[in-house]
Amino acid sequence: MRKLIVCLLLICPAFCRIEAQDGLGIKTKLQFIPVWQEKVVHIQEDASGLSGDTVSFILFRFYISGLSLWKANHQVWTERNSFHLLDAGHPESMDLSRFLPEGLDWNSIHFSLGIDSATSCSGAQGGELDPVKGMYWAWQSGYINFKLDGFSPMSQAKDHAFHFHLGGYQYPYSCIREIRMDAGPSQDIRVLFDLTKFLATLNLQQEASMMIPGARASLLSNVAAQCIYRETK
Amino acid sequence: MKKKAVIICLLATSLFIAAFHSKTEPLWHTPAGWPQPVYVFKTNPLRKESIYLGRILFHDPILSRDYTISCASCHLPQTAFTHVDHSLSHGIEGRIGMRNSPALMNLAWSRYFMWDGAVNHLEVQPLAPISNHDEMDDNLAHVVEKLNQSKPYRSLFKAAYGDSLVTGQRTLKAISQFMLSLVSCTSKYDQVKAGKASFSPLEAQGYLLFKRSCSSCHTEPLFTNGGFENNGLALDTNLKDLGRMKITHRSSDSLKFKVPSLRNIEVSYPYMHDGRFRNLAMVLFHYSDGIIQSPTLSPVLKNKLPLNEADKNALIAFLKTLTDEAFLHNPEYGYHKTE
Repeated sequence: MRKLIVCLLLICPAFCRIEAQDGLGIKTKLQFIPVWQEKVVHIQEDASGLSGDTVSFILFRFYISGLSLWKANHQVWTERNSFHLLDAGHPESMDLSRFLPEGLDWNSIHFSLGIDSATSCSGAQGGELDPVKGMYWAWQSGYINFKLDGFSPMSQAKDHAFHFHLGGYQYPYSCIREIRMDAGPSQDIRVLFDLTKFLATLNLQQEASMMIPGARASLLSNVAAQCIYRETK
Repeated sequence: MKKKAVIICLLATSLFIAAFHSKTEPLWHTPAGWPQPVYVFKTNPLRKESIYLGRILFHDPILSRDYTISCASCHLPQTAFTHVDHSLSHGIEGRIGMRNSPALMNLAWSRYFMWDGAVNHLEVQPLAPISNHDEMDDNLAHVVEKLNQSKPYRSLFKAAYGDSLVTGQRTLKAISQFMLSLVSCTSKYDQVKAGKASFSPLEAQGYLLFKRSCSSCHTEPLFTNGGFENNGLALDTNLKDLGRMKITHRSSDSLKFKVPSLRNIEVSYPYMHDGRFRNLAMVLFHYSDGIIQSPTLSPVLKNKLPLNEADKNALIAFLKTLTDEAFLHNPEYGYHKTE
């Protein structure tokens, strides 16, 4: 009897796994791809040789939170503790496929660019939200949802640098932005984050940095959210 | 055989209960008559080991870039965790900050921190001085790196958290635990309220004046309403500090600063957000004669405070009853040399 129970305990998870993998037979993928002039953004972590003659990026990080899957108007899955820090300097962080369940029938995905106000007011967090990640403001509480640092000949700042750190949770300047995307038949979603579009919206000659919460950060968060869209082949 | 099993079961249950009780021995007591704390302890349950770790961190200059400034440098236990005789906080390399270091006590009841309320939770408050250019000028990631390289700290983190890994979250929560332990509730005022002592006639007169003139902002028993007020100070033209408005971007918050607690006020001079007043007499002169009218001035100060010299003496006598010697000299708060 005891042996039988042990055998069942060992076998059950295997069956469950097979069933989950079978599902609809579709491999779900969710990958973010930061692009500049239609090419994948290259992060130059060593900025010493950069002159500002051309646009270059030394850091691009952003938070994606609240992943959920939907079928028509019904939520079929939501991720618990759904906070992901995506770093263009670490391409593996851009692939969120492993966090999505297999075998579910869904046709749209929802997520947010940034961190919600409740989390921003909940004290010291760990994991992806640990302040050691450099995405938490020290002088005023709150997460930096989007951090883009680089150089551009257009910038009139020292060394032609630019810095856009967008965040803030307080009404009416909350910077979190919800994004919804149709999955299409493949459930293979490649999400472009178009920095060409983002920088084109700005006048770097007049505005080479934004690093405080407020009305302007909120407006630029709208722009950032509009630069996120599904790749169409 | 059955008897043996029952005995073993009973023994195991007793051991479990004993272990459970020793772990959940309450380290927190809300003083009688006080409101419930704002701080949510269930997300960071107090433990002796983590309070101790926080205490060691609080007193250690390892938190600053050049290992010269600790939290205690500007927050000395014996002066209610502020820095007497220093109007503005100072940091590494002799740098001078923009504001007076606030006294630290009863922080479990605070909703906002810093003079302008820039910090929304006790656990993230240490990030501000650690990162401020004019204070410790470091960053949490580097602090964590330094702590991870320290054998004594890895032992302390293991004792507090079960393993020796140092993270930003653990570091911040441990410092918070120590700060939560800084409860001042045993002053003469508290003894009087508990019926164990009585005010002198002068103190009693001061208490009546206090309730009439001051308590709308410095509300008992915490002696702060936790809000932000413009108390009629002239704008310092060098510092140009607009207070709360910097955080909210609302003109209605111009020149408003957090209302400080008056507990231990006798020993926590100088006063105000920029430490402009060296003693309590200067503070009361401001309220009786120095109020600057402005659109955001607290309504209760529109007509200044009608205080004569006798009133002021009585008020000061009462304010001194808020000095809590047991708190100021609590051996659990001071520097402790680790093994």
